[in-house]
Amino acid sequence: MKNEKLLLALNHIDDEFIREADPKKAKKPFNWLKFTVIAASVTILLTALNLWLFIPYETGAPDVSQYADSEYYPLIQKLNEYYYLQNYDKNAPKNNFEMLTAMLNDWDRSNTGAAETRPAVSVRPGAPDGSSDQQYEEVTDNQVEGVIEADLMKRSDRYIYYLHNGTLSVYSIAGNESRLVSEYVCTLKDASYNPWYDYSELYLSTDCKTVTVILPYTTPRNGCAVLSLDVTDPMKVTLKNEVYLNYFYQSSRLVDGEILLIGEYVIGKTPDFGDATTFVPQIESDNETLCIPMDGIVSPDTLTSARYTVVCKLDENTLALKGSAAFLSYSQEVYVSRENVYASRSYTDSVIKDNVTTATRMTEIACLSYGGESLDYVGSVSVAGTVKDQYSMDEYDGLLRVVTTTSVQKFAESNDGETASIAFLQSDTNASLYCIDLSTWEVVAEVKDFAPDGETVQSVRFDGDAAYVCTAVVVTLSDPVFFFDLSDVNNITYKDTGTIEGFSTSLISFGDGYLIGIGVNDNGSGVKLEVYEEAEDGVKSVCSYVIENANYSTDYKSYLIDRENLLIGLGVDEDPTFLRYDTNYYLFQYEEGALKLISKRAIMEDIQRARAFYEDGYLYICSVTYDQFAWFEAIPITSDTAE
Amino acid sequence: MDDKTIVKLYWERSETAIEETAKQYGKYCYAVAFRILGNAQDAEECVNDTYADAWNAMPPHKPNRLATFLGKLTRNIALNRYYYNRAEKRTPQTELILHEVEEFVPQAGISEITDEILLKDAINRFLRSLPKQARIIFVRRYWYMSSVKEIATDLGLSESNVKVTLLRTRNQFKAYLEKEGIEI
Repeated sequence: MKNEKLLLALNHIDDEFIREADPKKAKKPFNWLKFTVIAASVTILLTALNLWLFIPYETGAPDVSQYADSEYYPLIQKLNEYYYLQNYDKNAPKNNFEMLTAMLNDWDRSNTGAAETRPAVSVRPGAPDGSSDQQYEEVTDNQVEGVIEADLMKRSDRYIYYLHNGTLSVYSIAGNESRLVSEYVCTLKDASYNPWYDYSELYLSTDCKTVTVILPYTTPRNGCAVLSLDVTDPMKVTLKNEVYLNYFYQSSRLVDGEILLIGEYVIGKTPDFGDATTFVPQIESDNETLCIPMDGIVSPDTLTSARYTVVCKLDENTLALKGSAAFLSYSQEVYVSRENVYASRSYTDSVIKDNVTTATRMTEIACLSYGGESLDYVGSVSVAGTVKDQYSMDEYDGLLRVVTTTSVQKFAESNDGETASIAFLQSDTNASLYCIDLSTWEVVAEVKDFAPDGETVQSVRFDGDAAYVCTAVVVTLSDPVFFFDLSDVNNITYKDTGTIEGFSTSLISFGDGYLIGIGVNDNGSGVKLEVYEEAEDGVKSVCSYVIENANYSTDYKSYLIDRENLLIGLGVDEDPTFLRYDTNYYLFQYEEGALKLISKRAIMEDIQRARAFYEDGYLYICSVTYDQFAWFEAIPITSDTAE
Repeated sequence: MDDKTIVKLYWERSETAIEETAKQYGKYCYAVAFRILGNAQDAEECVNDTYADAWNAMPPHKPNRLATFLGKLTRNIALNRYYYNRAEKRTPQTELILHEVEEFVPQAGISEITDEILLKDAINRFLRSLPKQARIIFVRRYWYMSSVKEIATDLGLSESNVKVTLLRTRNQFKAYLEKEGIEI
């Protein structure tokens, strides 16, 4: 009982001791094993989660090594890198964490698909030649002698061949008796001609028996038809051959009975590298479609576009394919010399230093020779600046001369996390001239930044040892015209006119040191023709003629240039209002230091497609209305012809 | 509901006093009783008896801590019940504690003490003199009737450590009671 009493007696211990020993207050001992297991598990999970969230996505272009056995593998690698950079979005999520964050916002990525494939050229044999007693007369002021450029009008001594709206109109050259002789409507097979997208041109063979018509079309797809027409009897024009190219037509040349057709082939969206027809231009020959072989493709180390300039060489008479090649990324200006095709591409060379980007515009020019059995790659060169047009390049005496508009910009990018901004620090524009040795493809001479700061190249004309360059700040409507003496590339000298009001968009060498500039006047509202003469101390303006309140044709081929008779002609829209304007054809003659207007004639609207020539006292003009109706007139030129 | 409010219900002879007591401390009292008796039915009966004793005790009592007040009532009832049922139902744990208690019951020769107040005072003075951990172990063992294992787990000690502490404390308590001339 004593024990029991004691236990009962313990009931009287103070409450504080009872509370102190309350089991509920007992701290559970720290279970290290359990803690370690849980901590380890959590650590592993967190590590795995972090890895999944923050491991960066694989960067760089996708692996294309599975195509290593392809003939086009070097091309595939370049295209792969190009498309990767094109599709690269620096703001795209770089890991799963950013991806999940971005998914809260609207985020969409488009898929890409392969471009349609189609053969480039199909050739069908045609009828044999006929006979003609015509004599070829050149009306196009070709850039290079012997390298004929296609045009809307060609002629012989007896007939005019004028192309409009897919129709060849033949006119007789007979003064007051001139008339429409025949018309031939070109029809396309499995394609539709688009009159509102008219870049058609034609050639007349030197024997005047064949007219080659080049007809671009856009339906059902971009393409170009080449029709060979027998004009042995101009009154009975017939189709001999036809060829279809599945490229967008850019330009062409006729040299020694061979037509160089230059077009643009766009790869389009991301191609299927397992199928070469999705990224290589194809040619149809002998009813077989073949991709241009790899050794026929010229491309830079780093592509700047997924467009080819395709060059095909056809026999003028039979349209038989004689060779083909393609420039990849070189899809801007094309210049054709007596032996070579030059194609250019522009790109930007950026250098970043101390958060300041210096961007310099550059141009790379690649060259194919076409004089041999095939089209062969020759070489390439890069120069600073951009070329304006074909006239900015010229091959002469083993040198390639190039005039560029240079552009260097400096800017700083900043990003405060919410907005990105660019601050332009400096922008320099000028003009430069380069001489490249075609045997080494190295720049052997250069004249950098010869123009006043801020000016851009408006027109260039090479003439043997000389070069004429008009630069201007378009906003201020004033220009100097520079004359370069290129006779000694080691000592290139130049002189200029000083600042002249207005500027010239075309420069025409008239020979004997004379130059004609066609462009805008001092206030930009009119047309100005100006004659320049090379002088001992510079280039001086001899005379000018201004047509106020007028627009002029900027198509060089639309100008009548008759050096023999010192005639210059062009179409002009005068007094333009919203609903109407007067379209006239102006004919000037340079005589005794002055531009004399000898004819002004109302013509149909489209001054860009007006073509004219002077022959035996008559001005023959062809033009077309915007409604695609042809217009022709033979105008006698007398001393009082001008209105 | 806090203790003060529940005690007030008892003083107001409100029937909800028992209901609130059961809600607040029913499980606690059951645990105290079950630990001694080892039998659910007996433990429940003890809890019910606790409510009855509490109703009778308040008033005059007005405890500040209802948990300890009720715990004591339950413990007392459970022990008495245990001794009453001892012949038929033996709880190993309680038996063991009773054996342990023998160790610090003073030997014969010392005059018996019948004054519970003196005993209570002596016990409390002894407990106050102990180190905290030893005191907690002692009270857990002999008031809460906890097993050595439970005490060891709750305090993060080994069982042997608890046993040794209990042995030493019992010896000290025995010596203390002898010194105070207290016999039970």
